[in-house]
Amino acid sequence: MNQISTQGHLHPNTSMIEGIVRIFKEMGFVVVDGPEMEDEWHNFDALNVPKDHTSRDMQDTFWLRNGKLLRTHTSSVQIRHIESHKPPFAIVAPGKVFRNEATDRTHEAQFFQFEALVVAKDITVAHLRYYLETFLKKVFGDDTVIRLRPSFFPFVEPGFEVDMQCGVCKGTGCSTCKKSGWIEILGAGLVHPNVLNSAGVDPREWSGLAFGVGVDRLVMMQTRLDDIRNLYTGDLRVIRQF
Amino acid sequence: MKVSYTWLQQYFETQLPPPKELADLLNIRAFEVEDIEEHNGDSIFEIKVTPDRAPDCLSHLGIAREVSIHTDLPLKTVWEVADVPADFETVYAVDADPTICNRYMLREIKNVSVTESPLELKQKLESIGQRSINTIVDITNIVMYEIGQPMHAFDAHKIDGKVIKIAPPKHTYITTLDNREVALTIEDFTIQDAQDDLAIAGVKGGKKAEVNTQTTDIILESANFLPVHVRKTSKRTGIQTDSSKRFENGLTPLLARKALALASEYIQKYASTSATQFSNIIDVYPRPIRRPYAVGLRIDAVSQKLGVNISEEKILHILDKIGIQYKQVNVKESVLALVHETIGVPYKWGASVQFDSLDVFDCSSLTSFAYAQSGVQIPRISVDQFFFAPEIKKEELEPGDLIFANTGNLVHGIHAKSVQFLPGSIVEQGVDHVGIYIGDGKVLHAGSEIGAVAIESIQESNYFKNIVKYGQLVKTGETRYVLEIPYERMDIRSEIDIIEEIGRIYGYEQITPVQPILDPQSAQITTYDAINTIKSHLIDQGFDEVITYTFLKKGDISVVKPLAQDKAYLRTTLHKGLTDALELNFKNKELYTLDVIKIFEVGHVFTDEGEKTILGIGVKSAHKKQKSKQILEEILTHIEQSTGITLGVVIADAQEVVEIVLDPILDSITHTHNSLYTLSPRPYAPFSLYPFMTRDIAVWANASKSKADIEKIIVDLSGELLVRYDLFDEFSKDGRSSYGYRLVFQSFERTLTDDEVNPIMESIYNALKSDPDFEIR
Repeated sequence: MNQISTQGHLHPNTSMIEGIVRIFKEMGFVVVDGPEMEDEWHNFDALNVPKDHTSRDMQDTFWLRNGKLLRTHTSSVQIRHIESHKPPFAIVAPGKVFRNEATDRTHEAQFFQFEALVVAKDITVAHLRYYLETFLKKVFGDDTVIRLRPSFFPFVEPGFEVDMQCGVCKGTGCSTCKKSGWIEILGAGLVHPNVLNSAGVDPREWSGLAFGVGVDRLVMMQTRLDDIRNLYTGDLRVIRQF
Repeated sequence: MKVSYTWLQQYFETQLPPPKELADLLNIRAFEVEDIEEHNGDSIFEIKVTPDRAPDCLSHLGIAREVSIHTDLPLKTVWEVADVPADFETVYAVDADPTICNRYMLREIKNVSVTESPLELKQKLESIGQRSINTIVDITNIVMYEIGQPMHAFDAHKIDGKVIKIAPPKHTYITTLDNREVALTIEDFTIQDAQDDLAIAGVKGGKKAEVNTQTTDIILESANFLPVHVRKTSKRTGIQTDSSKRFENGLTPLLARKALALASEYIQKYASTSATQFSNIIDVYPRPIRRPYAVGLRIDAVSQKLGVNISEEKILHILDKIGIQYKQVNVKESVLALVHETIGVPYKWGASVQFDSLDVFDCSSLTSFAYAQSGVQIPRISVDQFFFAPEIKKEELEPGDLIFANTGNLVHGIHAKSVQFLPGSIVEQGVDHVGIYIGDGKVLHAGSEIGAVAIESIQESNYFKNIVKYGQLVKTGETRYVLEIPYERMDIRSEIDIIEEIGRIYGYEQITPVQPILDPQSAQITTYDAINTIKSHLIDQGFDEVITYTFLKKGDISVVKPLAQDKAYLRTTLHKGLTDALELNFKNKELYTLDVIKIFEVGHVFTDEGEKTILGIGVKSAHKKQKSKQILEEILTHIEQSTGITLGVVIADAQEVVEIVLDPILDSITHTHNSLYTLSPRPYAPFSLYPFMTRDIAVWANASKSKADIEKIIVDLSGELLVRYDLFDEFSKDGRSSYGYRLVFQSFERTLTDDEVNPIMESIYNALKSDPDFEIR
């Protein structure tokens, strides 16, 4: 039963984002933002996702009648930042993103992503692994175990799918993790040289790492909220629980 | 893609690891195995092949190659199929439009046996969820699932004329094999005879020349269509097939040859009669691939990128596993040796490095080709090479270095801006020509006036009167491994691609975390911080944060393909979302024991003027003394006072919702106020969708009794239907205290009625009445 509180309640996405932001601020990152209504260049072309290429199918896009689109990921903020800043830098970019797909308990046409980008000299996969472990341990606890699996996102190479050992069964396999012992949590990689080049940074001199994580999904994993759509109804029966 | 374990085993002499083990291995080294299904004693994997690997892995052989790499079990070598020799010369000719066809191969086969397929073929198809049709159709499908090349067979007797043409459609409709009428446009391409469209190129076969059990003579197609066209047609017609999926990701044209050979062999084995005759092969292949793609590798770059030390020996061993041939070269020596062989090769402006090299060159295709073949990839055109090559002084020039010039020849224009490398970089002097210094004041280059690759003295050459840069791509003596990439590995085109390959085969689990050293960042207040400051003040004042939908029924900017008609526009204000949320929550206010609902949202809105960040605040009050409007005014004042900013224009209906454009004012927020956030989560509890009921009860209690005594009675007697209770009134008089409670009842299963709640209240009253220390008011 609820307690009466004179304080209001933050939306759980805001709390999650701020929690992650604090972790990254401590590690020297700066928070940046960007528009939700994007152009093709920043959302696709500059991210090494060419027109008429199948990699565009990986994300169903809301195209707008004004020729623009609703960003399908916060990765577009990467490009805007690289274009307008001299490396080295380390940024995080939380924000709303959109996918034109049917909604259900785990899919919503709008949701939140959290993007991290580092561009500096001699960035390696080992560095990426450091940030991922530090971040996920702070969110899910020190006993968190992660693994990197090969995957493909056009804007990174090598590209990874990052799994977390299932917190319910500790890796032995249960219904939560579909008996695999692991739960897919985010996509990551070293910034593709083409991306740096498109945004005006010489990839021979600079290198980068990046990852993006679904905020709603983290909230759902943490709170066991079972329907993503509940986050966007404005219903205080949800909000006031957090 | 479905992959059969039994089918995979056919490529190996040695027993494969058990299915589950194999799936785990593929998962961490190659692709996600989403599911393993048992099917008649076989295990069927559902493998998610990533788009970059579609060219080599959308097939059983492709997956077998991966399995071989990660298990160290050798593949059988019998998969180099021998050609079935030709018995006669076909009368058919091919007229293929090169804008869609990289390659079109055709073979006529007479007197085939089109019957129900033998069990062996049927089982293969059925194991991966495919329907068996007849011998010929099944064979073309099996070849596709086996090596990844889509094929098609036509009934020769149903074809009008003797020319197979690939061109924009003859008709506006085609009836496909599944009897659907599909509309065609002039942007599509079809395979056609003299009269009709026979198939949608690369996508779907047509009804007209369908192969069925009456068929005796067939025409086999093994082609390579351009990905972009297949993709466009597939998207426009909404027909996605196993064939279109493979073509739109790209396939090597060399696979068409293998597929035709394999299909011929299978036809001989499973669908031939004593009278079966194979024709010669027609092969329309205007721009053949000449040589394997060359990629350079620096051994130290592998460890530099992956962050783990991998020995040269180990790296080379991994290259062997992938089937990559390699040699170590001295870059400049290799470049010089190569270019000397090109002397006299004709000049052609715009020559393709990939297809034309060694036949024709222009100035920059020559340098690009020579360096690529020597393990250093450089951009294709002179202006990009200009920016790519680090500048050196004339005195530092050594054989193999590049000399850039502005010839002043305007035929093809002088470049002022880079195109590919750091696009848009400006070269003020202009550049349009590049040559390779070969020593002794001489330059080797391809020039249009000379008409060929030639050596000239720099001083005497007409091309190098105005030298704009001397560039050095590598130091003299530097070496590279030059890798010959297998044709089907169309994903490996640069050093980082091969480093990724090495990393995943070596094992990402062997990379341990290393903390990077970052320069400290300035602790400036960003717009993010400023928004949080405002949010924190609102939370302090009891406002709850909501996030509502961006899509609405009306607005300025519309969505091309909306999810629903009432979600066809982007919101221009937060008004609708906040108003709806107020309505919803106001109905439930008793659940929270609130008489005022106070909410806010910070979100983006979209108008013809552009995108704006808005703070919207909504208040709906049932309080007699505190009207919504008054609470809104107070919170705005509070924000202004506590942040020290002027909120500026307030867009409002002013009754229940106000909105403020934040963009112009965020910069003036100079303090942070942020006390509320926590990462430690509270578990979410589902809520009931059924209406709740409230009951109030007021009790006099003697001094010997406390609130806790009353609450115990309320909780004990109410059972699970009580969702909350709140003390809303409390005062003392004459040594006694009065307590007023509001009880909220709700069920997860049904709408509650008085018949259910009244007896509960009755029992509470009775319990209180039976104790002389209590008196119901």
